[in-house]
Amino acid sequence: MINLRGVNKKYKNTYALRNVNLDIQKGEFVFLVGSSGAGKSTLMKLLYREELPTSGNVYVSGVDVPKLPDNKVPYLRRNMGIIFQDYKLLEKQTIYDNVAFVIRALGVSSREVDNRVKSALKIVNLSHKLTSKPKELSGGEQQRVGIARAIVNGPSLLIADEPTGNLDPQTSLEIMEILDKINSRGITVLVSTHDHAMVNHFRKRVITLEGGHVIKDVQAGTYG
Amino acid sequence: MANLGNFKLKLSVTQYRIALRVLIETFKGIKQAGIVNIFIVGTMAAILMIFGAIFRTSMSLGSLVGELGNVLEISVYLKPNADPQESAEAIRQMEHIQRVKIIAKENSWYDMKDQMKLPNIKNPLPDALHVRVDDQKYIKSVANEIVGKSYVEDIRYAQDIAEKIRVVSDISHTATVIVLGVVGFLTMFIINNTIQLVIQSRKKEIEIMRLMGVSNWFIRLPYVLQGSLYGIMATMIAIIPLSILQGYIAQVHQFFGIPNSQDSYFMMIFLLFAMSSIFGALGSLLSIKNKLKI
Repeated sequence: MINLRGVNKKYKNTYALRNVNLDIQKGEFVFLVGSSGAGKSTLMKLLYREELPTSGNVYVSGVDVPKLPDNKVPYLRRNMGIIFQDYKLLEKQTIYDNVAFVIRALGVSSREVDNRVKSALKIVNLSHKLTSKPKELSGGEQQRVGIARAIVNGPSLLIADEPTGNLDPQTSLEIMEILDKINSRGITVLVSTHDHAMVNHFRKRVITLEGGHVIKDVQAGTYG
Repeated sequence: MANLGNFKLKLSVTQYRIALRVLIETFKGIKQAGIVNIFIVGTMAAILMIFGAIFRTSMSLGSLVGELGNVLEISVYLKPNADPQESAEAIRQMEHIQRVKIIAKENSWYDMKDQMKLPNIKNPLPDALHVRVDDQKYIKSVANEIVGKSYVEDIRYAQDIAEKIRVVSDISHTATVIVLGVVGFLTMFIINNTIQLVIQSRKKEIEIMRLMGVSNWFIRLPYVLQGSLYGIMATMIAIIPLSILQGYIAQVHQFFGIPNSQDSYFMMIFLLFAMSSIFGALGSLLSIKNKLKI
């Protein structure tokens, strides 16, 4: 699903990633851990081509991501769902519209949009909040909307960059359980975090980054 | 085969939905601009009205100048020994001559005596030729050429009028071109700034769309359409005062007895729509290029 070979990423004089080699299989749930500045976000951005590597190869579902022409990048991203730490919800739109607006832009029929949005919101247990606005929801609920939006187009890969960074432990646990539920449907999930308790609770594969290097890659691992 | 047909049908339905969505996004952008819309459309309408007025007046002036120029003639007075037929034929061979009419001295004398009380003396008038050029801008050069001929005693033509008409005509054409350039620049400047504001206010939405795999053109197109729509709306407003101007121009044409072509009016409207929508779209493209990194 994801293959990185000798990937380096340099910003001016600083290396964000150094000689990263990585393979993630389809259907895996992987925690990407490390302190701030370890290179977690950079690695994730390389996968959805928000950044290009300075050198090395990045493959997602067999696609050579850095060599993908600009006009093909949207097609790569349609196959992924991205979840952000700050949720990135549209304040003036309802929860329903927040989840629907991207698939509407892809030309999906109204009936299909309705089916998909309702089913995505059901997975994140927010079926009762269709007409609410983001400000009326708690942080955890807003992140669940972000997850629903990420899965509404049926991606095969879910990338979550610090999804619980702004949440309390109990809510973080709920979010991780939802991601675990999504993973059990066969979707590959890659989560970056520095929440020790969460990583240790779930016992999934853990890849540890430090100073841009992969220093540890353990199945059913722990952090800290 | 049937499957292929269904596939094509599905594709076109999807494209139709996307087109509809692009339009919805376009109107959303206009709605988001709020009260600013009134200022943009109002300013553009004023600019387009000025351009339209100058353009329409220039066209009208052009036809008036053409008509007046056409009635300007050079009166050529022949030497007593010159043969009118031969002289007329020689002038006809020159460039830019539309018509040469021989005025026999007997006829001129007869007309003069008819209009004035004259003593019964010998006809003092020379034979004359009335020469009309095919374009009034050549009147001076043709007159200069005629005056040098051996059979010509003297010539007369309204040199000042011909010169002034030519100058007015040239100025109005130059003004139209300059104003067209200014209008283009101002339209693009206004639209460019507005679209930049709209892009700024929808930054988050745009970022989500591009990260979720929405096509670049889908994100960009609504802004281009928005720019064009501003141009079209401004033109619709500008047409109102311009149609009043058209009425006044018609009266002037009627006064001079020169036909007033409706085609010029429709051409001006077409030009305004085309120009404002194209410059509007270009203004948007400019801000997209500067501000919308996808």
